[in-house]
Amino acid sequence: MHVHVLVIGALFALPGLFVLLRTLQLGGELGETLRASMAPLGRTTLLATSVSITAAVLGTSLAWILVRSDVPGRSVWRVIVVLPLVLPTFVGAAAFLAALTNGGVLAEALALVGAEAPRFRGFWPTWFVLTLFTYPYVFLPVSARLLALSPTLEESARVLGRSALQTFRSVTLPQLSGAVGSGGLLVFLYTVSEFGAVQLLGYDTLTRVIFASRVSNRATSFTASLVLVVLATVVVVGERSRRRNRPSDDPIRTHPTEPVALGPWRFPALALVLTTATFGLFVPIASLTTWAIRGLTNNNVGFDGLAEAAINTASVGVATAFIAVLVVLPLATLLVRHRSRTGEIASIAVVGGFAVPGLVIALSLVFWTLNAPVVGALYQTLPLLIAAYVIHFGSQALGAAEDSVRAVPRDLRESSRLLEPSPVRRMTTVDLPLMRPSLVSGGGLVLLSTIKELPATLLLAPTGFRTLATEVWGSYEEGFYAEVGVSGLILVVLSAALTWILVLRRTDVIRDSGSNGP
Amino acid sequence: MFGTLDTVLAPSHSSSVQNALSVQRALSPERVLVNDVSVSLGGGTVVHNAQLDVDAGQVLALLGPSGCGKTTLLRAIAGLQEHHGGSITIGDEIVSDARTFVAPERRRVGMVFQDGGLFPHLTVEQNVGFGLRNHDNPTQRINEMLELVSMSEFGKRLPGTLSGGQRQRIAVARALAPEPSVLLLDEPFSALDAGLRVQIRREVKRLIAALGITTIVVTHDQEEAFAMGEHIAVMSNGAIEQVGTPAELYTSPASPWVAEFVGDGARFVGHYDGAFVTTPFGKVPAHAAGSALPVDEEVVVIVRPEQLILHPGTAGAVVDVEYYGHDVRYDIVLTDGRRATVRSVRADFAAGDHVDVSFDGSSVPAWPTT
Amino acid sequence: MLAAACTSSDGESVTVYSGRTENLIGPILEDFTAETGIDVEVKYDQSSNLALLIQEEGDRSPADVFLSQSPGAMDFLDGDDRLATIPDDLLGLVAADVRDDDGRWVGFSGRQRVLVFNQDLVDEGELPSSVFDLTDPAWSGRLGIAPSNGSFQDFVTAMRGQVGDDATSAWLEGLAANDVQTYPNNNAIVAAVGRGEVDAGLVNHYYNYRFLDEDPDHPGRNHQFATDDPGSILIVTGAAIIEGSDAPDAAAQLIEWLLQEDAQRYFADETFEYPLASGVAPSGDLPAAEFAGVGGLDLSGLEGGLERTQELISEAGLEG
Repeated sequence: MHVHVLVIGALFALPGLFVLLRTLQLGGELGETLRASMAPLGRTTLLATSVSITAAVLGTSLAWILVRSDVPGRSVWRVIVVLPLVLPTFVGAAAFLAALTNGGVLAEALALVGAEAPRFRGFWPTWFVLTLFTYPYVFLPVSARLLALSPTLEESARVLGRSALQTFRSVTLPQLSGAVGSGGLLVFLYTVSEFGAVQLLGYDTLTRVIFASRVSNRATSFTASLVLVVLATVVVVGERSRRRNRPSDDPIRTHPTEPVALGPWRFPALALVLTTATFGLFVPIASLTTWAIRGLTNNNVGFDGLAEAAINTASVGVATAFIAVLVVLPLATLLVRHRSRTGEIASIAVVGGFAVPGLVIALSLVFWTLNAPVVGALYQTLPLLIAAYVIHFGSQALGAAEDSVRAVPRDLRESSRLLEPSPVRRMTTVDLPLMRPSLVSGGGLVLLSTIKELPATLLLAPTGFRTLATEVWGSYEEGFYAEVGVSGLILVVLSAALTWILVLRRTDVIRDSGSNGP
Repeated sequence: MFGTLDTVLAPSHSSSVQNALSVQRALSPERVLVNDVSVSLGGGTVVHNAQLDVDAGQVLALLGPSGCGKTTLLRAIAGLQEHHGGSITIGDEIVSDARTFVAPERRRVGMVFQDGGLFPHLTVEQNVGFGLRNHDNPTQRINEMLELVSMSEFGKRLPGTLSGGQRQRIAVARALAPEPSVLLLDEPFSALDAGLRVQIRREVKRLIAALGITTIVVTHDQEEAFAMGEHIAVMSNGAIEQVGTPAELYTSPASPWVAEFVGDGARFVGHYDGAFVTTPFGKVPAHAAGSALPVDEEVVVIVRPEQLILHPGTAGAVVDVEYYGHDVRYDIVLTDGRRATVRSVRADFAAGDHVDVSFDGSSVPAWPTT
Repeated sequence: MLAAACTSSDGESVTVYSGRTENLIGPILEDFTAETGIDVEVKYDQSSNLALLIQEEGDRSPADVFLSQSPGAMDFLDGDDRLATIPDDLLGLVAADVRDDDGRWVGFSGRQRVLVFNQDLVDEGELPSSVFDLTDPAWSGRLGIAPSNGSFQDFVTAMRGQVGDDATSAWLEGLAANDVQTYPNNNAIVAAVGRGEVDAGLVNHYYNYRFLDEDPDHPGRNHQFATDDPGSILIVTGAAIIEGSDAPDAAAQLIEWLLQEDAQRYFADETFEYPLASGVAPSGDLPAAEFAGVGGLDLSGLEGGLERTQELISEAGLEG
């Protein structure tokens, strides 16, 4: 049982091993380089910590509002609110910047109230933009968990005298702490590995050191990568050990939850949702649209290849999501049901993979594929690209996979064993429907990340394999903003459609199929 | 166990228990009035025009098969479910009607859920004390409640480490700790195994009786309802079919359905001559249990097993025997194919024996055939 | 969709790793295929990333041709002995100062460093003839640069080669003291100049033409520094054949194609760059490029190379 988990763990550890290998191999003045990395390390840590805190608060609040309360239009908002995850952060940051310059949406709005657009560089703008583009990492697992939670606990608290808000703090939030923690961890690791927005907005982090010196001084670059891997490992170990004391079964929902009536609180709640959607989605889209329109009216846009890119993006994204969930599920099962040490170690490798910049993961896979026996034939094929995606993003499915395993309580499993001898049949008729909301939300995260991935795609994809992300990048690099606008918008629409079809429509499965109560 | 509670009603017992009880009894229990309440869920009406009147201090069992709406009605009383039409009153206060809705946290009801609903991240003490935020002396009250349910040593434990029966005791203690005026129980024993269920049920019943608190118990188990409820309301498909004491329900059920739901019986149709109905066992005295009986026409009757007596004979044969120790249950098939159940304290017959069935002369409930 | 690496039969297909985006080179490569029947498989990415990839792939690299917009990336591979010698007849197609002395790479188009300025905010008379003039207090707060941009760093490296590290450092520090505004890339600078956020900036020449193409009302204009001033260097886009390629002939053919009239005209007219093949004139819109010391930016000769340049930049307090 444990061997395949070790294999999984080894797979995810490949980038880290590669970095370690190269650092030792390239020598250089390790001490000197380490010292030079300390300031960027500090900035990376500061940024990642603050972003994960605000993203967690924002994501959890939105999840509660859009799952538990009676705010109107919840099912629509639940889709919209996830979408900021769709934009590659460099595009999002660039679009945001454009909105703040002359003629941009935000600049115009500020001009209306007589204010000037601020200079948008440095720590605070970076923190702001990254929070806006990462809170869905917390929103998705928390809302999945809220949907799956039995309402009995909250109802008990209400009957015992707690108001809705007090119930949330003392009963709901502890139940959510796992989802918030795993989502927040993802935000932290994402921010650590992020380069596009950070460079655009001028905040000097570890990733900048890695990229700036990657050709001119590879020793420095790899040392900085090693520092990053160590940081990620430390944080992951810390978060996972905090999570160890969790009950492993959840009571099943016997009836759907009544929405909490917010009364006058409805307005601030709706305002929060609207503001987030505006800044996280509508503003960047407005910029993209402006660019696209300007280009279309000047007839400057080349459409060839976009359809092919869109199809590639969708198919490889869905395939990756599927495979990623399959890969992490055995590990999740082991972690939840057996609490094994090997599982814990493997999971550190899995989760840590998210912090490694895509470029490094790609180079590591080049190294391992070309230097290991047999697998050389995989080089520059789609399976290898998918492997890179799975290593980079598999962590996003792990927390959700663990939640999904927890959604099938032991007595249910045991009774179904007695009734149905075929494990496959049991899986499809008993386990899967209960696991589906969480599995699908985890797969959804992987899907969204894969769709917008860039550096590994550029390096590892078979030549001529275009994705929407590479199209956007190509146009962006040379300042062809019209094409950035068009391909960016297609990216948003495609991601929204896939997210809706595959993720959000299905996460209500228990809500719909649950009994209406005796 | 509640061993100590048996001595509660006697003068000599531990003082803390006495104090808890006197505090509880000092709080006047309240009357619950459900007036023409309907509840819709997911597009369908789940409760139709329910009417219930539970006197202060009374125990009402809400009995019905799965899906009949009893839990929904209970949740409406607790404020966890909205209703339309009518009103719900607790004591003097209208807690919900067309214009008002008092939130559940303000209704001063206590509720025990089917799966206990203990907070897994809090200890037993913290669970029991959860509703005591405005209390003067929560620690004392927690200890009193724990002692009341004989779980004093379990204070620091987590619910996940307790057995099902222990968890339900804590759930009861937690619900009662804030001294609610009304106690609502939603199938509280159904998750427990059979022997434990009866034991805990008895403990809870004694506790409720000693505290004198108005209680509504929802259950699908007829035996449980009869054991716990001073009054029983039988529900079917969202409507309350009948409210009465166990004896009334058993001897004068409002309809054949109620009759068959609350106990074993054989259903026959026969001619009513104004005082007697013709049955395979001869003419038996009948009384109108529902609406008035049409004279000189066919009526429906239910014959209870204990009203029949077996003798050796030829009218039918024993098909099955169930021996309970205190009595025996016989399944009989008559020569014309009709079936009946007979209960007897004597175990004289075995499967395959040929028997005659006679009637013991008591009255049977009867209803018009329409 | 399992694309195999390029076939090994020579002349059938050639694999290109291009640091130049598809928009800017795709049509040329398609024309090559149409003309010769040789299939071209292209991988696009930043020049530095591709150089890293080629290095990591080692002798199993599928790449036959490397097109680099960054001299640093080219030198990196050259230093690792990953570049093969280009046939002499191809080398002869360009001037000696836009190709590698050892014949390992050849330039095929050029980008000149210029000062882009907002014509509404800067007088003709103010325009400096030397990049060193920009440390003058008259320019305080009016200039934008992109310290992390590859082209800027290449330009600073060339400056070091011309005037030495000390003078370069002094200039960088002078800029910092003069409240120079930093931007992430050339596009951002030209956009900022266009809306008047800064009055001028140091960029590659062709960006402004692209802006004008999309918006004829754009107020930015290019200004060339004096011929032998470091500010007016030409950055060469180079092509090289990868050592160990299994299609060296096809690779050479491709490079030859890039230096032919058609392709060179494309670079001149469509992407507004400077054609480097001898005898091809630049587009009429462009001023004649009289460049300074382009001399095959041999960075390996410079002490510390690109890394030292980056150090100087950050030591001057200009965050990249």
